[in-house]
Amino acid sequence: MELIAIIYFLYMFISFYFLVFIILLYLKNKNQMFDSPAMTRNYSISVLIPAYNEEKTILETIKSVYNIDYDNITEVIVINDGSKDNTLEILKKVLHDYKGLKVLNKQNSGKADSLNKALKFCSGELIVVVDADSYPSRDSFKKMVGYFDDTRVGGVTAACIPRNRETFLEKLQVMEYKVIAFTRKLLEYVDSIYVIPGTAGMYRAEAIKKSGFDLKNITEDIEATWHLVHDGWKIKMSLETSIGTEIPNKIKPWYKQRRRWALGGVQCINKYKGTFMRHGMLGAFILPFFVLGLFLGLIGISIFIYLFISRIMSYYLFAKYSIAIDSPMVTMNDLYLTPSVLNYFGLMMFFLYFLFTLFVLAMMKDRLFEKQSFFNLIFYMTIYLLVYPIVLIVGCWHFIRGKNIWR
Amino acid sequence: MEIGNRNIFWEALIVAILLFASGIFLGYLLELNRVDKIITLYQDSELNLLDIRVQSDMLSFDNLDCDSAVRQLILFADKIYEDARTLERYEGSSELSKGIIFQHKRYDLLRTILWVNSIQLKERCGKKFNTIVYFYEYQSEDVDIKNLQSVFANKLGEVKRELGDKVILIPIAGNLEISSINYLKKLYNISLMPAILIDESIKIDTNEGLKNINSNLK
Repeated sequence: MELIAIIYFLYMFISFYFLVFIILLYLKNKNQMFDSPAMTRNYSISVLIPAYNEEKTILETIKSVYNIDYDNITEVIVINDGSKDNTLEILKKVLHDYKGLKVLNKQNSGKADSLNKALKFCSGELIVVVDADSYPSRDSFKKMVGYFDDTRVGGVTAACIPRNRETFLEKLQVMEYKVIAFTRKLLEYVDSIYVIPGTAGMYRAEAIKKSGFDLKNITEDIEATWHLVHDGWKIKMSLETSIGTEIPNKIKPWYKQRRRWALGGVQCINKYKGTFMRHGMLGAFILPFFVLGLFLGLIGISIFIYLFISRIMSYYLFAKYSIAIDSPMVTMNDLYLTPSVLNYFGLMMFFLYFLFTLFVLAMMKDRLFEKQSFFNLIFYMTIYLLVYPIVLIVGCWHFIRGKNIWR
Repeated sequence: MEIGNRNIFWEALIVAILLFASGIFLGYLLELNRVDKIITLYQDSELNLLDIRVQSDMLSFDNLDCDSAVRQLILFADKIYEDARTLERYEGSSELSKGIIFQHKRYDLLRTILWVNSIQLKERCGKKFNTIVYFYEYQSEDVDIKNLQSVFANKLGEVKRELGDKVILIPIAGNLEISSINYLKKLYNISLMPAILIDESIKIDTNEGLKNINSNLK
């Protein structure tokens, strides 16, 4: 068997293993997927909203926080991270309209530093971080706090829902967010949630004040989650809780966001590489999962590029020789297709992942999002997901060059 | 982690191995099935060849019907040419089993016998058809050679469609280290592949030469 076929089979097997793993996780835990523990204690909560140039959305975010049905929000701290637009002016205007609203104005130093500064001031037993373009649902806090009755829980995340869903790119991301939310919930059952997204996360103050947010990591939310798991805290997810968020509606900001995620992931791998097979599920699953994801992405794109280039070269030479002697470039013989085992495996894997995605979309449809068209689904499965490894390579490249891109 | 979820990593691994191994096994069966089809085709061809050889042996008889012998030879050549195309398709998609290479060698020998037979028939009955022997590199790794061979194969297919019964086309892999084929290659000075030998006298081993192939066929 050729080396490329062996690599291909290995790639297929690892992908297949993860699919089986996710399916088994679902089958074992399907009855609890959309349940959250009941609220038994009225924990005091501090809400932190880091803001940088958020004049368009900050007011609505504050409104949605004050609209939350929870009566022990002790303070809402908006950290203006040296915004160059009118964010600060807007905050000054509404400062006295909301009880407990505080504004912390500082020089621009990044989101992680903003949060660390605010952590020193806040007094709640739980700390909620909400991005300045995110909007927690009214019942979100009540559904999330119950998890903290387990004293080993250090953080709770929720399902992020894109608010803008009009354009094609937005609709594709809606699908992606559904799959991410569903699989992240499943990973909770093996204590392997790898991120409490910055969109909205609830932390135990004791836990997050100790670990803080890493200034050097451009995805401070992923790093903070890994840090909590490293320190022995459990992370939970309330799938029935929704946090609305603004998603990129153009290719460029979308690409920048994904590149940032990729680079942040590589930074986390580098920072925590010493924990391999140690520190509970961080070293046993989360780190290997990320490394394997990176490895599979790179291998996959390498195979794709290799096959693509060799096919193009082949077509070029064939066309050149055929034209030189006026020979036909396509014959009836070319119509006979004889697929190899590799083709069947590839098709089968695509079909299985397609079914899985369909299933997830069906599961999440009535609860969080609306229906998607079949074309969007096919495009998502074939083109959209294919771009991931490319972004991953760019992320690795930036990491190697020591470039940290935040915005 | 709940007790029920603790073993899920191993359970998933076992299920994945079982299902994946089943897939590989099915793939292997699929390829074996293709080899079986080739074996069946070969057995049919082998029978035809025996028939042709008996006719060759009868060449010394005075009452030999040359037209019938030539017709039989051309029909047989056409059949094994079609078999060769099927074999080529199956080979191109073979990943797990190598049984097909063995079949390829057997076919190459069969085609070599056919060629030798056609030479004898032409000597006995006169030149009633053109013989085109096409030497190519089996599973060449060289992209340039691979594509040149595809062009050669296409062009020869076109010639065969144009001239029909006036031509017998015999593709032979020249790099499988079969001694009789090596001998014939040496005899007709075939050192580069792909190469075409027309009526044991005209050799074409360039793309430019291939362009004018029709002018060498009478």
